[in-house]
Amino acid sequence: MLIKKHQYLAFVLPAVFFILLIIVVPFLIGIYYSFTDSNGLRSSFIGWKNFEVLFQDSTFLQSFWLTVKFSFVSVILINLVGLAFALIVTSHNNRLTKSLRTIFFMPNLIGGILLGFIWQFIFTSAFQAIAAAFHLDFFKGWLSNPSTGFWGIVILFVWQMSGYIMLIYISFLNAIPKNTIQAAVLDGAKATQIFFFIQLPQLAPAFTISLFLTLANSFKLYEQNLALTNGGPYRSTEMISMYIYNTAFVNFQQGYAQAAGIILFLCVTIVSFIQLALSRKREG
Amino acid sequence: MKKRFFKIAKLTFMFSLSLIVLTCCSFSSQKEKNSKITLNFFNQKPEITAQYQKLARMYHAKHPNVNIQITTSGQGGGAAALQAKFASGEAPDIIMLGGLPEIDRYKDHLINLKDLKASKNIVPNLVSGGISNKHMVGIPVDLEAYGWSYNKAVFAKAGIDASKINNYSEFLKAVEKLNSEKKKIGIDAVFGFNGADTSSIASVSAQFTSLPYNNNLVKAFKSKTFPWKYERQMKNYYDLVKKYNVQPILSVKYDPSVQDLFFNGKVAMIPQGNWIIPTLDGLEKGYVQKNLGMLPFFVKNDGTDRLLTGSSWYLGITKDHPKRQKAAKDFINWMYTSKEAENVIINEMRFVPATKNFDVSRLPDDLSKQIYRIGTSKNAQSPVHKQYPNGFTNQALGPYIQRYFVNGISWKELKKETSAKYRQLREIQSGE
Repeated sequence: MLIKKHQYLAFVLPAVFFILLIIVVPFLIGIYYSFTDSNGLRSSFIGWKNFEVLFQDSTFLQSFWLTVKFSFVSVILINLVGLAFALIVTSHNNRLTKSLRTIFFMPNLIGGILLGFIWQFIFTSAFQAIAAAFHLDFFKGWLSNPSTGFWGIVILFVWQMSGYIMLIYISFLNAIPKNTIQAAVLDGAKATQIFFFIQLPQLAPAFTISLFLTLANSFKLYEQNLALTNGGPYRSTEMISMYIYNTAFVNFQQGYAQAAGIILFLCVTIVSFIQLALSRKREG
Repeated sequence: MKKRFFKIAKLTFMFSLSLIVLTCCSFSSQKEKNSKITLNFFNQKPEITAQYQKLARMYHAKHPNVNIQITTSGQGGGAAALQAKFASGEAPDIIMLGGLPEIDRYKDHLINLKDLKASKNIVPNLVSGGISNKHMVGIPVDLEAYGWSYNKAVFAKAGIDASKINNYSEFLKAVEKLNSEKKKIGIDAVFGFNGADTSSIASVSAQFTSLPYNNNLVKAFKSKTFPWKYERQMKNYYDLVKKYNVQPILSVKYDPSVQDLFFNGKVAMIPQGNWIIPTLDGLEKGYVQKNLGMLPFFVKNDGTDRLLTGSSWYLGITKDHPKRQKAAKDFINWMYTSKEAENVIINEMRFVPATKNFDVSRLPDDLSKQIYRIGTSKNAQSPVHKQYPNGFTNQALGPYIQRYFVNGISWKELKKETSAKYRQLREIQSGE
């Protein structure tokens, strides 16, 4: 009897042990280091100084603001494009839509670093060739100034994430009872009316999940940033994760970087909670 | 009964599985055998890994007891990878360090190399780049020259004799002549400055920041301010580059600038030194002897300007494994004093050796000979860009100068921002 009662412990404990060891303990140590002047090898306690300096550091604030802007733009675009993809591939059930599903999802299977290099080639070489062939100034000098650098990362990220978000919308679209739509058609509803008054309200839980995923991912974006622009030109596209990495492993101010990491953690947590609370309310 | 037995068996199995996983982690570090020694060598120059491996094999052939394991990590990731090695308790025995800020970070781990046979033979003005707390803890990897690399064929086509360029106005005249005859001599632009790379921007800046320190790299490392003494000349050169460079300047990268623009004669000059020799000769045998020359920056502009000569990298030995220290010292001595090792270093790595009293005629090309002569002469000058605070190059100086190149910032603002960032980084990193 005793064994049966505690059997689950045998299964759970190893996993709990590793989660503690690999996630919880480093997290707590990290919080401690944010109050030190650690350079990775030596450290001493300096209280709140890192946080005080951080809020006066123009580069930190700049990259933070850039990340907020980026997240705002990419969350909206990814969800719009993902939903559009989902509507396209669920509108009919034939070979074309089936292959489109695969095509839309494929970018998600490629790693961020690789995608970054592929798009770097597209933006610099392919765009340059288009600009030269058709004399279109729009395609000239991509990634060489701050605004094209910013939009370059947005395009890359939207292209990568939309397919994934599409899957979520597809599953929710398929779960909508067919008879509600058929009833609406019989009542003479137009396609736009069906979408806005029948499908959209029932997609509310899908929005909760998709917004959460895209928001968290865009705040943490790093490898796409690294491979595509590496913060350039002149640090204008350096997002918060890259700022933290560079501070820690290029400047070797690891306590300071840790403090920035804690701020990022708090922001992502707070924003996610607010978003979840709001969307849950609408779902209910 | 049977059921219960199975349950116990299952439980035991789960527990033992998790135990095995745990114990695996702790048993992985094996004991070292006394007779055989494996030295770990941490290398931060990926381009010469193959040659270091060759040296390691040659040494192993002579000393069968000593194996040398080379770990290479470079191009931005090296410093972080090295720190990870130390943090995980697997400190390498021989480490390659770039500049005093990095040496300072590991100073508690490095041994004094003063009595090493190899250290007694080091070119004098390179010594201070390996000093921490008045101890010599690093010995330079090689002797590098910093200036303009120019394409002799392009200069010849324009009818310019490089040996007659001895001050800034003559340099300016040559640049303008090259520019006006661009079409005739088939170049895209005069300069192929790779504005995308902050490391090249930093090494060029050293032309204007090194003179005040007069070869005292420790002083440069401790300096709390960025030296603007030669800023007028600095601005002149940057404005010149801005005007006559391949555009857009911030899209020009190191590899294409060397292997395409310079090698194919599409530009006349690039701001690189003798580290491009192996690449150029790798593309076409004998290219360097035929086509590569170097011009100094005219900073003081009084006829005493020479190429800057220094070493970006220093080798140190750690005290983390006392048993292997002697073997590490022997290996370094062998690398710096034996003829066979020197032959690999000068002929295959194409390095100019950082040792005194070297027979110049053994060097394979004229440029290397010239660099050795300048580097060992009385008025040799070491560049100080490797002594800037950690991160200053790619987080401050590089981005600000890039901004200046595309007119995103005025010279006055550049000065103000750069100075402020320099002071801030230095203060944080010196812990004061």
